[in-house]
Parts: sequence; C-alpha cells; structure tokens
Amino acid sequence: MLFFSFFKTLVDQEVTVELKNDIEIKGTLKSVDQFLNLKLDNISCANESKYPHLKSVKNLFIRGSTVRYVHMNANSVDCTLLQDASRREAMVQAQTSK
Amino acid sequence: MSLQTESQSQEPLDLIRFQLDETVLVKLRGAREMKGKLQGYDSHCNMVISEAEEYIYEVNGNSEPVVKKTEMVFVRGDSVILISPIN
Amino acid sequence: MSTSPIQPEQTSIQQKDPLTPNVEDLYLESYAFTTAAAIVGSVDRKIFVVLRDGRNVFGILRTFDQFANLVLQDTIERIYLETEEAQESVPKRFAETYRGVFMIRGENVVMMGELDIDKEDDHLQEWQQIPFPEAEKELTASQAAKIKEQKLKSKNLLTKGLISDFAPSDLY
Repeated sequence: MLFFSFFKTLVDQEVTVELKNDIEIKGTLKSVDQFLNLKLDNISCANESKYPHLKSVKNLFIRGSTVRYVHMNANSVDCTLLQDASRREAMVQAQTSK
Repeated sequence: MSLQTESQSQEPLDLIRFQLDETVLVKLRGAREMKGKLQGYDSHCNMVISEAEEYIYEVNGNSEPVVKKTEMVFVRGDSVILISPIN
Repeated sequence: MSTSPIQPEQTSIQQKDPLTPNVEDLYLESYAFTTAAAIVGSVDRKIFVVLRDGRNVFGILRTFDQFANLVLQDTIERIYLETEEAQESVPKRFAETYRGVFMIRGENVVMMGELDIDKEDDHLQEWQQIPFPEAEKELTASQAAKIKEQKLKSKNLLTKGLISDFAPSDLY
C-alpha cells in the first residue's frame, strides 16, 4: 500500500504517465486506487496520431497494469519520508510473513 | 526460527533496502535500463528513482542507446527484471 | 481529547476512542480513492475505451464494477488507419461500425475517458471515412506485419541479453 499512499500525496499535481506502448500522457493526477489505476484531468498526449480522439477527452482513467512509468516533479516528493516509509513497509512485511 | 529473526538480511528484497538513497541500475522489460538514486520500493518491486537516466536499446547492431533523463520517476514493478547496486 | 472518567451519556464512546474509529467515517474518507469512485462519475455519459487488442470503442457507460468491468450501450467501434510518415496528399482514413451493447472485461481495458460530446468529432474533419470491412482488412494486415517485425526485434534484442517480450494480444 506504500505507493498507493505515495500517489495520494501527488493528487492535484502534474504528472506524465508513460504506458507500455510508449505513449506518454501528461495531466493533473486526480485519483488513484489500490491497483494504482490512475485518473487524470486536462490531459495532453505527445503521440496523438494513434488515439486522435484524446483531444476531446475530459478525463482519463488509466489501468495500472498498462503503466510503465510515472514521471513527476522532484520537489513534489519528500525523499526522506519515502525512504523511511519503504523501510517501515519492509519491516512490517517481514513481520507479517513470519 | 530464532536465527531468522537475528540475521537482518535474509530475503532478496533486503538487498534493495540497503540500496535506498544509493545509485542503482535497474534492468527493465522493453530493452530498457534505468540508472538513478533509489528513493522508495515495495514488495512488487515498484520503485521511485530520482535523477534517473533511462537507456533505451535499439535493434540495429552497436548503436548507442537512446538516453532520457528525468528528475523523479515511478517505475511499475511488473517491468523490472533486476536491480543492481552500482558505485 | 477528554480524559474525564465521567461521560454524561454513553453517546459516541466509540468515536472518541482513537483505536476504534468510526467505520463509516473511515469508509467515506477512503472511498474517494477506489476504482469505483474514479469511474462512477462517467456513468450514463459517452465514453471511449481503448482495449488491449488495440480496439477503440465508443459508447454510453451504463454500469461497471470494482475490476473496471464495463457495460456500454450503443457502442461504436472505430478504426484509425495509421499512415506511413506524413503523407500530406493522402487523407487519413477511419472506419466505424455499430456494435450495440458491449460488456468489457476489466483486464482488457487500457484506458477509458469521458468524451466532450461537443468536440468528440472535431478531429474527424481531417479524416476520410471508408467502409469498415476494408479498414478491418487493412488493419489486420498491418497488425500481422507489426507482430512479425516485433518478434524479429525481440529475437535480435534477446541475443544481446535484452528482454523485449511482445505479446500478440497486446496491440494497443
């Protein structure tokens, strides 16, 4: 659930989602769920020729499993907090698996 | 059982934990590699990497890979093949 | 928090105990971040869905569940034929066919979005409509060529220790 919480902190920030088919979609992150499905507003697409109708789209729901990367602004991430949270998550997982 | 609790590094993922805040090379599906500072990870190998350089390898022979830079990127775990510490 | 041992009434003792927070509150707080909450706003609206096999479908979303299984009504399937490079002289071509009611299994969804019905056909001005069977035939041929090309590419990359696996079912 670490990255679920992580993406929740990025809500209302501008992100660029790169899909596994190399398409990049830029937009404002509006929502995320436990599968890391993403919902974006005000989208723009670098490669619009493949999906020309994206111009007339109000909001976009992207299934988590088709995502390769999510690029974001460096100053929207608290690195120390994220590192600590990763360690804590690892600890919790180690304990629950015993 | 007590041995397991005493030793800290029992699982493969513990190696990744030691790489937090260090530079790593991540090999990915789609003929890609990502080099950067590891900021976070989870048990699915989802990761956040900062000051990242992505290398995209092309088919034709010995041509240099395409390099893309990003300041902060989330990498979905299902693309990850291996994670390796680099100096 | 009040630590007074005497509570005037037993009202909401549960709510005051931080260890047993009000379940309903928790539910409402986290509801915004569920698959259902992300999709519910698009119900009874015109949406488009991109499927894993590369199909573009347009229709009215009638219902869905937490896996993003969808039911669309009055669905249209549209094929956009990709042209080689920027051939200015040749108009870009598309084709449509009516599919009716469509039930989509969630795992096949790549992305979906609500359409602005005032603008949804704007981009088609530059496109020329051709008969669907014709477009379908051309698409199948180009996909077969793409699969062949990708398989060769994967094979070549593999000799260099690079994994670029390609599933013919993923043509989006």
